[in-house]
Amino acid sequence: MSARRRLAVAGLLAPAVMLLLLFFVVPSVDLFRLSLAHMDAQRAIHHDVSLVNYRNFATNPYFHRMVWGSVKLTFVVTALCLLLGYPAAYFMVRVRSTVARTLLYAIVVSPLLISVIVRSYGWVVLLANNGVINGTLLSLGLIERPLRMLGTFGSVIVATVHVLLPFMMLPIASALQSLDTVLERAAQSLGASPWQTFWRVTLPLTMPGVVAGTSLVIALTLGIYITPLLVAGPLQPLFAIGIYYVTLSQLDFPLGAALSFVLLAFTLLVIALAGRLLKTVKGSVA
Amino acid sequence: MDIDVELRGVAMSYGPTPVLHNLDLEVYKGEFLSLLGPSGCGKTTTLNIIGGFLTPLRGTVTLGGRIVNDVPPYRRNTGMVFQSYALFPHMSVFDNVAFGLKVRRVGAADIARRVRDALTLVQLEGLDQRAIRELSGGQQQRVAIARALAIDPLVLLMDEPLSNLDAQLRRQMRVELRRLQRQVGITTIFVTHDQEEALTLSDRLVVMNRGRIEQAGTPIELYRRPRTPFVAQFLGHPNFLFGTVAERRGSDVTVQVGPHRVRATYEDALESGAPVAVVLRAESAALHRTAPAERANALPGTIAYTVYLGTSSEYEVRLADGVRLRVIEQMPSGIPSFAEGEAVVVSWVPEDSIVLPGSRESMADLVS
Repeated sequence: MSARRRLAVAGLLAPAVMLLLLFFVVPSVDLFRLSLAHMDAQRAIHHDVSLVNYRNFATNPYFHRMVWGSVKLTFVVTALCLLLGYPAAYFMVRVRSTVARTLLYAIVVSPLLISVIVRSYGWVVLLANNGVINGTLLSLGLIERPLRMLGTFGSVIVATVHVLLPFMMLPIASALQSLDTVLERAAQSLGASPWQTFWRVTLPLTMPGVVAGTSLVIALTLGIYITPLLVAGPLQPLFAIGIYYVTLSQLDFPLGAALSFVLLAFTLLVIALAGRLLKTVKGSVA
Repeated sequence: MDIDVELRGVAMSYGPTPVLHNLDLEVYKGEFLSLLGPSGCGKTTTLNIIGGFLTPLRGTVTLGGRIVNDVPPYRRNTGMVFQSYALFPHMSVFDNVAFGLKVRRVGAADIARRVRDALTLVQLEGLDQRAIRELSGGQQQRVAIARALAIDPLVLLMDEPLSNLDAQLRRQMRVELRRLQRQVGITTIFVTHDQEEALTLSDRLVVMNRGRIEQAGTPIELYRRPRTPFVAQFLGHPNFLFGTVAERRGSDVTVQVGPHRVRATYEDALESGAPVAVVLRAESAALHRTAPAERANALPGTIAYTVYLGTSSEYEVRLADGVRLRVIEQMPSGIPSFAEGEAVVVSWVPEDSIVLPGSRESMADLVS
């Protein structure tokens, strides 16, 4: 590489690197230092170096329930997003009419254009005891008293899937878009049924999109808090809600910081495992 | 002879645009048949209808005596070789060739043997564990053929399989493909727009134009006796001479072309005074400095320009009345016999005159 070229590369990289360094790495280091401090019973923060917050996390059953809740939510939401998102992305990419395709893309992207708070309140309006769904079922005489939906784990799942589905669909759609359909015709000419063609050709070759979408949805579900907070309240045992509660209600900043780092590490671990798992399930990825 | 593939009255259109009009075609067991024509003539559509990737609007498709209009591609047992090869990039050479056998749930030992046989056939022994991206274009081509042959199909369908190869490799694969097809004896339908490819490979070729079959026959029949102006124009390098029938005696016909009388042979009925085109292939004509005694047709002119091609030369000869004739001279020595501006005589035997009924106006879109 010539000196000029090296300078150009550095020039192109510098703004992004500087931005990350200033607003991500530096605060992260600071936050980590804070996580090693601790708050005493009089709510005074001591800047000594101890693992007391991490020990608290490891031994307190409240936090364990919270982790388990987030894991459960992440597993169900990711599975649902994959099961709903892949066929929808497939149809969206393969539909013949350009108008229909554009419309479908617009529908998929549209939730991302609306504030997450507005979207989540939409679910509150739908699922509340005096909400749209209960109102309709009552007036049709199908139920006698309102069904309790708001505040349940189920409502968190539905609302979270709605919020995160585009993050699964768009990478899969992009992978399907770049797949040459002549490969599917080749498979069929060799005797593969549509189902065999999907399992042996289409799915393995779009696996990069599946891995990308799955990683995104996992990371976002583990850290999600506005949507479950609005549809299920602050007592829902979820990791991010726990951090919110510890930090903003108890004002225990060091513990909140420690929990944030546990969540970050956990998220990276789960994504790494998911990527590994998907790769071994479907063989090599192109 | 047994018929392996038969199309009867097959019609097809894409939206409002008709692409095939009442196509009738039969392909005999073991024959190598080419569908030849310019792009948009319907040849690939025909192949896709046989493979089951397109459903015809009307007509029947019969494979091995069974009407397959409603049979999906994966139950037709047709081996297809695509222009882009369409090899599975996430599989090894072995897995590509084994694909059709695996989906048929053939036993592992049988698969290993049949894959090995197929790879031996295309001379790729020992490359079975290679990744597709590690292969050259020619090797990928062979894998695609081996993959299609491994399922032991009723018919091999090939969609311009050689057009992605460079010229030298294409000639080499042409010879190899012919050897392979003879050796296996598999019925083959080969789509191409390359007349040379079609002439060298085929037992029989079908020239298509605008969704219709212009003419079907052996390469020699089509080259020697084209029955339509399109076929005459598509094969070889033809000159069109327009005139009227002056005299007819048995199969001997004399055509008045401007001031010249041109002799030809023609078997079918032809009225005296009817407008005809006499097609003379640039390859069939010869040039002389003085009129030869033994050749029946001899038209004097001057060489307007020459194109040197190494083993041959192309001349354009201008006749006294302004008509231009293209003549190709084969030159084993590599030295052209004539130069620009030289006075020459263009001669040919009556049997090399191809007579096509019709006026200049009726062939205007074919002859520039």
